[in-house]
Amino acid sequence: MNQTKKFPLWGKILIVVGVIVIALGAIFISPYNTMIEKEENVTTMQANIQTSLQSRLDKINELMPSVQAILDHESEVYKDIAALRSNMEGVAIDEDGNLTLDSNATTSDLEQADTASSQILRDINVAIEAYPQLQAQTVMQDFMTSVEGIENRLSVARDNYNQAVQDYNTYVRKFPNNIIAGIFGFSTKEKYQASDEAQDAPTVEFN
Amino acid sequence: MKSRLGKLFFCLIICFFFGSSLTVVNASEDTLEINNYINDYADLIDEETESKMNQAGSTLEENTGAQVVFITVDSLEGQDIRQVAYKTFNEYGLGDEDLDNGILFIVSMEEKERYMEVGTGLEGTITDITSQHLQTDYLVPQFQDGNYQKGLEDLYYQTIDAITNGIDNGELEAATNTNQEEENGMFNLIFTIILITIILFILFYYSFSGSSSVEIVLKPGQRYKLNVRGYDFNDESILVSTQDSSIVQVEADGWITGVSIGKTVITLQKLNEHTKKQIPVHVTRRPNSSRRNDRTLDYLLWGSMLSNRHRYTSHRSRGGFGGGFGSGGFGGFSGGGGSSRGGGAGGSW
Repeated sequence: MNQTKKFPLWGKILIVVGVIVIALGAIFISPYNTMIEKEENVTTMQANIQTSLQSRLDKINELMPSVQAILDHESEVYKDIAALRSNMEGVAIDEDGNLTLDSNATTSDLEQADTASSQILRDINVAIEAYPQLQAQTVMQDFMTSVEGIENRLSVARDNYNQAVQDYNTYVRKFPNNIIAGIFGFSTKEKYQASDEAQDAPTVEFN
Repeated sequence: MKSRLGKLFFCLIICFFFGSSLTVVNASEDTLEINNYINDYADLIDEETESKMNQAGSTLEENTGAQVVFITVDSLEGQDIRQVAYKTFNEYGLGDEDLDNGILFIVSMEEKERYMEVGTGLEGTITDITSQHLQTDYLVPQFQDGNYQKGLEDLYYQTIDAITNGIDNGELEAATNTNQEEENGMFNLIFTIILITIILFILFYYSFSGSSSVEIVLKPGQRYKLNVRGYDFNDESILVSTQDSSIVQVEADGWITGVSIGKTVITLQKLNEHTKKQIPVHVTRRPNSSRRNDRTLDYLLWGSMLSNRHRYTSHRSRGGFGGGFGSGGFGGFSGGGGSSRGGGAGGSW
């Protein structure tokens, strides 16, 4: 039997349905998935900020005992540090005075902790400059090296977060994505705005 | 002709859908060019030493997947060395894609700045402090004495040693040569396009060839029992007629016979109904090639899917080409797809 069967009707219908599904996917599902992806990316980037911020706090925790041991407790710097430490949103202080970021800290918590901890580092720098016995310790130079590294990572993390947010916002606001975003409740996100002071890595010059 | 236009049209539609998701990679302005492991734009190293260092860098990459790249420049034109290092590092994707074990060291003579960007995967071994000490121990003293080549040479070999030591004592991993998963996104895109094209092709093929989709193809002399939905030749009385009995002969019980080459139409009509059904018949010596039948299409469809799946699996090996990130590689150097997050240390001399 050389004669072949013809393409059946149900096959055609199946193909038409298939093409419609794929077309719908291109119009509908793909933007939705991309939004999820981009939103996840923003979350990851926020987690990166949080990690860098926590390593900054760890560094402060590490530095604090030697700084406190030397600083005059009546000095402005000491009082400023104490005030900053007790007023950080989204940051917990344990009995040993160690600062820890809450795992569910919001972006604005992070921004505040960023600004405050950056000010603490600045105060520590002032202290180091004022007390030669602190400056003389090579361990302090290493501390400062790692502080610089942390600051750099933090600024990279901030930039990446803002880029991810911009990427996400642009995507969500574009037509026809804005309609799909509306249906599924994707809204634009705020960029990370730590104060300008916080953006500058505090550094100490050792001579 | 019509179906060819239709295909073209649908190709355009596909391009429209996918075009919006294509991204254009823009090279950032504030990055430096990497052409080799040693990029001595400030001309501090003599050629012989440079090629030795390049050789060492290449050996390290072959053995471990780690890439240690040095760049010397006269001036950074006012750009922040950390920014430049971070962006250049990630533009090229230094280090292995999975291990992120790249290192980029930049020295700028005019600003007297040095900075070492350390890939994420190396941060545990070459910490910021270690990286600073490598520089202050081996590079800074030499630079202070004006021995730039010696300083860079020592730092380069010491950095390589730090990585190989890390691997030897188990702190770090070396990249293995096992094939990685292919880039899924790219594969899926290609696969989807192929699939859609084939489906559209089939759809158009059949919709434009209209009623001929139930065309019967016979060889001269071949007998065939008609099998048409709604027409039961055993239980019903059906009138079967042919337009041209020199091409196809018909019998009342539904059997038809190809006589000579040509095209004609046979007509079916039930005795108690007025509706007729016309079936085109094509008698040809080469039924399979004159008109592709379903089975050929089936082979086309599944065959191309299988062969493509096969072709796109596991052909990408480590460090093969630029990775998903790096647009580098124009000058013969390509990163392995590694990344950094701003770790490292720098200073002056």
